[in-house]
Amino acid sequence: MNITKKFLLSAFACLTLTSCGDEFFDIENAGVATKDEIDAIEKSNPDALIKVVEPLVLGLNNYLHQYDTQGTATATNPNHNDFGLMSIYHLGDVMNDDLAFETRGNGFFTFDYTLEYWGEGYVRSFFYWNFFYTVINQANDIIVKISADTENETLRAYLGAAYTLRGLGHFYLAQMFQQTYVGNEQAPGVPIVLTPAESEDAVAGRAPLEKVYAQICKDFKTGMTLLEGWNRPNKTMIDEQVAAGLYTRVCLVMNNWDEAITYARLAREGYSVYTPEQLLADNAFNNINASEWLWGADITAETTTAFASFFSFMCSYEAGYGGEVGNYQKMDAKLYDSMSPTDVRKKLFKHSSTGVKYTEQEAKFPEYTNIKFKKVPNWEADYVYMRASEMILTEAEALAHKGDGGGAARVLKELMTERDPSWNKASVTVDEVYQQRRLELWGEGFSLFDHLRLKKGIDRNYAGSNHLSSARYTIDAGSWYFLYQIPLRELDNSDAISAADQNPAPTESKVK
Amino acid sequence: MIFNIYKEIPSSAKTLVVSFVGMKQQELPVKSKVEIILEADSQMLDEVMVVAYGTAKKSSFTGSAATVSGEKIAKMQTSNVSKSLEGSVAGVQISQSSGQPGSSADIYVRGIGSISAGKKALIVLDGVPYEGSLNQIAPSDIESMTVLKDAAANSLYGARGANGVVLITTKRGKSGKTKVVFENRTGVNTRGVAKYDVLDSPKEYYELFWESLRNQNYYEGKNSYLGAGQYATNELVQALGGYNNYNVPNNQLVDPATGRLNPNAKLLYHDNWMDEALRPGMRQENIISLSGGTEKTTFYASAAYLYDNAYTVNSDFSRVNARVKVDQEVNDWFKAGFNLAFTNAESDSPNVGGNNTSSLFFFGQVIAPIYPVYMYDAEGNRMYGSNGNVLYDYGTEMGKHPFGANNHPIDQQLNNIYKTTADVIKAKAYAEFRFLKDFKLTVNASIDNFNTRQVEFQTPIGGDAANVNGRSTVSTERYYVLNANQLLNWSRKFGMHDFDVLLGHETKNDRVESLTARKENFLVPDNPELSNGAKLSDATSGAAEYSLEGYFGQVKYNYDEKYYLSASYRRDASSKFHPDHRWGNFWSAGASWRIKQEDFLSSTDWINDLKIKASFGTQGNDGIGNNQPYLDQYQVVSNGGAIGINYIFRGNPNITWEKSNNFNAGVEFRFWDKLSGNIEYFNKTTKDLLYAKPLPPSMGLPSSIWENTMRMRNQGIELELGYDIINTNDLKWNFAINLTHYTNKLLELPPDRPQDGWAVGNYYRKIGKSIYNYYEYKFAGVDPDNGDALYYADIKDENGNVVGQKTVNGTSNATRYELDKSPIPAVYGGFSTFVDFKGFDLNLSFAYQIGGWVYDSQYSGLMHSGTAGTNWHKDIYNRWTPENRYTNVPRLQDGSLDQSVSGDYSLTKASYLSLRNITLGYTFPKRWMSKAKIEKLRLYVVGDNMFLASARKGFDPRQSFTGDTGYNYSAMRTVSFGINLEF
Repeated sequence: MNITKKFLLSAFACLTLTSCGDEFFDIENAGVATKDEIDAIEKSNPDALIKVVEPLVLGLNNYLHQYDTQGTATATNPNHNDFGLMSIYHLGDVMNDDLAFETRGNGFFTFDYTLEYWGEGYVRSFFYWNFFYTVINQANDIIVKISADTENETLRAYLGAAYTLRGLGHFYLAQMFQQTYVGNEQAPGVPIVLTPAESEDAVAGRAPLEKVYAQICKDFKTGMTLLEGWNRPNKTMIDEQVAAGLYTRVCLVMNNWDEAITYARLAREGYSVYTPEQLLADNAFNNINASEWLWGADITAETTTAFASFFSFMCSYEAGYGGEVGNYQKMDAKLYDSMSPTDVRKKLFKHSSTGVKYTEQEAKFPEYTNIKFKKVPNWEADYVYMRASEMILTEAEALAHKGDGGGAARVLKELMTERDPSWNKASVTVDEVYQQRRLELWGEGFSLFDHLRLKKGIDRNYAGSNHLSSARYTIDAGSWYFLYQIPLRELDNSDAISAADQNPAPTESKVK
Repeated sequence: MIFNIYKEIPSSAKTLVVSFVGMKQQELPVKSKVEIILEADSQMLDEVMVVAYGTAKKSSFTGSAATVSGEKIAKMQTSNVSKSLEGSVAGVQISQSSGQPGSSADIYVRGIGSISAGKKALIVLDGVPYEGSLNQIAPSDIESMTVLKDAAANSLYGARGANGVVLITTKRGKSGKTKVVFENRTGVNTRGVAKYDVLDSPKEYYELFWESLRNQNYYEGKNSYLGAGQYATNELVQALGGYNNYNVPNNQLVDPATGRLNPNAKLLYHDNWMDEALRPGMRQENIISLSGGTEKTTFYASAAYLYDNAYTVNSDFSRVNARVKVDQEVNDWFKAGFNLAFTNAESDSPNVGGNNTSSLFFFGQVIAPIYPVYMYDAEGNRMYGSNGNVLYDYGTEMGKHPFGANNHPIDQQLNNIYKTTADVIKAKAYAEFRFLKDFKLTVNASIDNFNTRQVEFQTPIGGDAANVNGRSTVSTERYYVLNANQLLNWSRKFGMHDFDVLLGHETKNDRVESLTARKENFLVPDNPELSNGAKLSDATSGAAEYSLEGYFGQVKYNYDEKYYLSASYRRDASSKFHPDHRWGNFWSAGASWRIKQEDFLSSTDWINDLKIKASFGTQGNDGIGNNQPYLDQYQVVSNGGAIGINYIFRGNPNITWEKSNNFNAGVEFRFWDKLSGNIEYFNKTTKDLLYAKPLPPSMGLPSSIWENTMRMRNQGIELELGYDIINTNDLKWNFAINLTHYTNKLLELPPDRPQDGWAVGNYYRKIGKSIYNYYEYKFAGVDPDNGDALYYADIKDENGNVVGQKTVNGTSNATRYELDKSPIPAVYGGFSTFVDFKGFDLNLSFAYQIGGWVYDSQYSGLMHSGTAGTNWHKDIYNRWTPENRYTNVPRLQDGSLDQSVSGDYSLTKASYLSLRNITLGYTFPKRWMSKAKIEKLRLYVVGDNMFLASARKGFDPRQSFTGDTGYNYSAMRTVSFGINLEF
């Protein structure tokens, strides 16, 4: 081989062994949006902050009704009972005596119904804790991005919504991991998670309830101020009235009757109560555009979660667990039978006393089965988070607590004229308002939380009870069966909470 | 034998050197007539083995590697080559979670290499890392599979070789007459692992469930014993969803006083789900290959077709393979070649495995025997549809299934469509240049392109998509892999000193593009294409890339073919890491000494071969399942068309290579011309482990963050022995066994976690214990007074110190303890024996494991205390009753979480013995065949996965590596008849 060839070959050898340079590692990662890309959008021009904040806000709204908010589902272990905020509402209703199961169910919500899910090692407590702390952390991510004195109206509103949701998160956590606020102000509550700028007020361990509620009220007040005057584009967003309405829930727990009244009035301004026709209409409880709804989730083809949804468990007409699978969700017999014969809400449940001619499908439902939540094709039924009737009942109850029975009756009448033509009271007690609250807001997520703040127990064991035979419990108020232990995963991975800080385990028998 | 050799010998020649493969080389003085008696060289034929970026003689190799020959692989008739490694190579563990034809097994080498990052071995096909599924390679195309286990062996793959490397080499042509090989196998597939001993009698089920209801009412409801019995009798059928298989009224089915089924009741119907769903499937394989060539050109071409139909409906795998390989020596300094392969693989893989109610294996084994497969009327007669079609009971018409209602795995399996089609093209080309006498430059380039299309159709007829009139999800993916390397080799011998130097550069670039869309509401009930659907529910697409670049060099030196030294260095960058932490440096050094070559052993006849070796090196691992783990990542979600984003991944800019230090020392020997073997000790310490550290849930989702932390050590010994029991011309019989023992220990914990250990799920991380150190509730037996399920709990004083231990009912108040148990076996491996006698050959291969603990969660699910609709294991006969007080099966009690068995109850010894393969063949004598111009004709019968013995019938501990099992698709047993024809 001559010299030229040898030279060429050696040169070739060297060339092929050269490097590729740094661009070789600039790879495409198009399946996700990285922080770098989002920061670039934000800095692209001074008005672009909203292009990043709005997706965060809408992402948080979406999280409230996502499937598998705990992030642990696998094909072999689906979490069909995890669909966000409505799961929280539903487990609260189930851990009570106003809602009766027809069968034991598939294990989704079964152990909530049998009040066996309180233990630290069970997934339920982890789901609850993780859901609200993720909401709180996502809210904090929004708060850090917007400066408190921003001039942009929409950004202010988003900041207000973030504070509101942060307050809401701490509020629901405080209710389930410790006895009710009144009388237990110094008892250990839950961690307070805030932005780095507010680290002075944050508590990594169990802050006493007093401190938690102080933060909750502060967040709600800040939120409502920021939301003042903002017109929201649709009912999926939080506006001042929604924040006020949510705040009244806090007021009731704290027994702060005056603020409950003020904010309940503010919340329902401009909303009218359902007429009887509207109440019985197909869309009363499954369409966000219905007149009474203040705040809800708009479920579409893209966001529907099919079998893992509220309607899968609560809609008797659907193909889901509460429907074709057979675990019909019924109203407690004693509660139903307590309704006066002229109460239009009787027709929201299947019962022979209503005189209604039922369809073939409805005829198969057991007595007392709810037909309140009606089916929407393709699993696109919307979720109601808050509606106007709640505000009337809150105001009336607060007035009754203050001793103003007459004022309470006047307010309650606004609702009762549209529910029961024969209702005509001049003065009502707290219990009477509460009774109407149970009937009106059945299935909408209030049962357990009302029992906790009103310090009531449950009684499923009476003659004629339609509860599942194996779950006919009688449990007194104050029992730890109604609350959760702090999840093990928090104890294992947090330095601030240890086994010594854990809630006690309930030991009494559930049956008397 | 007498040869007459006529050859001109130069007159100056004094010595005649005679050598022949396998025979001792001899030197004889030149005479006019020379008698040469050739003696067999009992030194083992020095195999040439494939190693990193080249080949090496086994004798000169300083690293640790084991080869499985293509012949042995071809004997096992599996559609996925990964499964043929079970029990064949020391140090290699296989876990196969599915029996679906074509599914892959995970390959682990020498223990558990990482905690959260990839643990599987790197697969290299013909010199190039292979990212596709192993089910796309035809086993018949494989020449050999070499597993590289230590640093010296796989440090050249340093970047990703930390978990071992499996080199697969395809066959190449040999110059000479063109050889044609044809093979056909036809066989039957049946279920390979027996099912659990569950109840099959409706009578027994009703009686046991009645008892669980009676107990629930008596112990919890505070009713009298007889009152509870009456309660149970009244509630029985309703609690079971309204199913009464007998011809007596519901409240007369079971006697309230005795708990026995009404003796006058007649059984109206009874189906067994697994019997209805399973039937033997057929397996058909045809292979043809041609190879041959001239001195300058060699080629190999093959084509194969496989059809593997599993033992349940709509589960099958078919594959077409074609390959052409050509090597051409153009002239004395230039050689080139190419290797083109095409594969088309189609599989129907229904949702049969897994713990969900659409899965046949879960549903069929868990559902109680009172639930029928078909619809029956009130008299017990089969019901048919209006056009005579079979009617299946979905658990919503005849009654309501308490679990799994609105599901029918058999009907759904028949009507659902889960089809995956993959078209794969693998194209490789190389050019070799020799220059300046000792230099060789090789340039390799390869492109693999995997195009996959998957259709998942849920039928509108019944099941999950019935209420939306059918749902179909179609996804396509294109996975494009480009690999290129350039190798410069220099080798020269100076007297006794032999040098070999390799310099190389490698680049890799992968790109994945995917598209998925879903629609609902279908017109034609069995057309899954989206054009048949009306309502669009989701559409998304994505793309991701991965790049790797490396430089490497290796020096090998030997003196007199007795003393060997090797050293290598590799520097790699991965696109997964931030530019500041991208590069990693890995090196290795090895030495070996062929003691047999020394003079002091040359006359020791009983030692045929003896070599010791040792090596040390470092390797890296970047196997995180995320392309840019150093960046925070968000996901876009739609809010009625408006953009929403959720935080889904916490980035860590300091993420970098996981590093391992690997030490290996071993002895290779052959004694008495019969016993050959290999003993090795390995110590692999991994540090800066890529670990997804769990965060407290009060920090919200994402619930973990990746870090480099901790140190872990895998340490063990491997033993491989082969013994030629008889080795004559007529009869050969040998036996081989391999055995591996290893321990896994955490040496260092993350600095911000408690240093005396902390709990992560079911494991307890502690220094000195393995990463799968179980941390569980401890079952303490059953209270003989009342049948309570007892668990141990600590007694604590006011200061929280543990002062004693007690037992409690249920796990809510129990304490978790470190169990000092893990899934890691004491020993595992395989053994085989081979007999060859007058044309008959018989081969038996076993795989085994002794020790290790695995959760038999299927068993504990079947030992529930009373869940309506769920079947029981026959061990429930031994439950606590007032007559049977001393037992470890708790009292039945409907729906009681406290009475359920959990914690370490189902932790079962994972020892097993499996007969992997048995082959009996007959090769027709050559003299018969040569008349028909046939080189070889062999007929054989082969059986794979013939039997499994484990701690409990139905329990298959091979399903998982981390200690849990599930209702996975059971492995298949295949028996085939085959013909192998060569001419």
